[in-house]
Amino acid sequence: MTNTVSENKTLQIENNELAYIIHNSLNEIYIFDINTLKFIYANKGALINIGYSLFELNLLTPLDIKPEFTAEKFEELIQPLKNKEKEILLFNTVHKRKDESCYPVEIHLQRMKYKNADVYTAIIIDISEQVEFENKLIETTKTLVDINERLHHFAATTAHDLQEPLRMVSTFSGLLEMNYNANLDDKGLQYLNYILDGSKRMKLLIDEILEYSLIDRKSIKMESINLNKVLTLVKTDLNEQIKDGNALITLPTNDIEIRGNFSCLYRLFLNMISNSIKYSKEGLNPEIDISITAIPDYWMITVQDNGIGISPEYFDRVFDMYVRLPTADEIKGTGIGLAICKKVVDVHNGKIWIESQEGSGSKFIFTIKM
Amino acid sequence: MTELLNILIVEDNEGDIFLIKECLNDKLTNRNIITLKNGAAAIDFLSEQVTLDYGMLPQLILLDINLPMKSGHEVLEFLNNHSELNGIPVVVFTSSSSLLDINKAYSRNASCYLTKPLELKEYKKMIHHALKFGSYVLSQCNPNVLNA
Repeated sequence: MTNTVSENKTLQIENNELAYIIHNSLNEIYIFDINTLKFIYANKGALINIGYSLFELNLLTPLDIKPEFTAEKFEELIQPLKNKEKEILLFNTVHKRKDESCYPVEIHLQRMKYKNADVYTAIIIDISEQVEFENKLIETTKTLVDINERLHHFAATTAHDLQEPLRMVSTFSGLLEMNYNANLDDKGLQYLNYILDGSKRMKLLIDEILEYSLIDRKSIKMESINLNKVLTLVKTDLNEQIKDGNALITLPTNDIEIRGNFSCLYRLFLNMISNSIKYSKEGLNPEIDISITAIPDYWMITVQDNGIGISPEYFDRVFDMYVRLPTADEIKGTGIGLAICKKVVDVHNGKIWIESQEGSGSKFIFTIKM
Repeated sequence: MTELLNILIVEDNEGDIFLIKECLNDKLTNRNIITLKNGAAAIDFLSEQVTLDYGMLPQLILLDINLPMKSGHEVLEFLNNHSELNGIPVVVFTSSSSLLDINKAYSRNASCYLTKPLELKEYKKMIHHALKFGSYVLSQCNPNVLNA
């Protein structure tokens, strides 16, 4: 079938209009000779950005605008196109304008036919903005990491420095009590007790702040850990509390190896189990059930108790520093234990959440990346 | 157990000096306690005792790490480098619980490393244990070398 004159005319107009679009696109398009590498054509977008006129470009090759490439390196790069191994090459480099200024580019290079000859066509995207954003991102991340490190160091140093004056208060109050209690009346002894009690609580706070500040992604060493080994150690260390509280702790039936930091996980379970015993219901022996299952990519661990429970409105807040529940008013605590648990879970790339109702026990669920 | 005679305390905190002495007084009557408040003074004192033909050489050293002039680590280093002195039991008694300090002290042959506790009861226990330790070492040693 041959085209009619009008069909030909339509095709020609369409071709012209397509050519117009290509020529006026602000993305850079170049065509260069396969043998001499000299530029045959560059569209408007190319001419505007590169700064040369088409006439000037006809005398140049890609090597003249690519400061990162030598002739050999360029030959090497286009080999796969030359011997038809690949259809398109995608790479990043830098282009140099006529005025010597440079800009980062992403190049799509193909081999095609143009006016019956083999040519290379390059479609080029100026990625200056992307590169700038990337650099800004790297810079911001560096700043954040730096600030985080300094905060950690600050918390650790502060907690450490606070210990000395506390030691003075605590030990000398102890001396006072030991050597002068005959000289004090009941009121005096009571004052002394408040001082001693206050300093004991402060010691606990400082210890926990120090503990919290030391859990840091960078300084944590991960290894293969037997979960039941951690739990058995926790049970042993909490022996007195377990006996006093008449608590029953059930460990998981399956013996699992997980990847994590031993002392962090020890701390997590210690805090959780200790909490479950502490916040038990009046008249009810605390029962704590620990189980573990595998889900895609993670181990999911559940610690379930029959204690006083947590009202849903506090589910998020209990993991914040210093937060304590109003229902737990008479029970001693620093409000840092769960914050430490959350930090440990974070460092193990997992999540932690609660299922509970006030008055009917709590279920702590957390995941640890495999 | 041989009763300890000469004890050297190297500590700059007044409160801790008082407490340590209180705790030592509990246990001993016949003792000679010398307190020095910085590392340089300790090193000078010890060098002197050696030249004075072991005059008042301590039989137990309670050593803090964070000291002015020269640190506890430098005192340990000094003791370690002198054959006449490196037999003296040194109990490091410091507020620092940093692993770095602990490792450093042991690598310089500290006999043991104790972290100052916050409660009086613990404090007393530690000082008494340090004493016991020093007494034990003394009773095992050649009395001619260490006794005045």
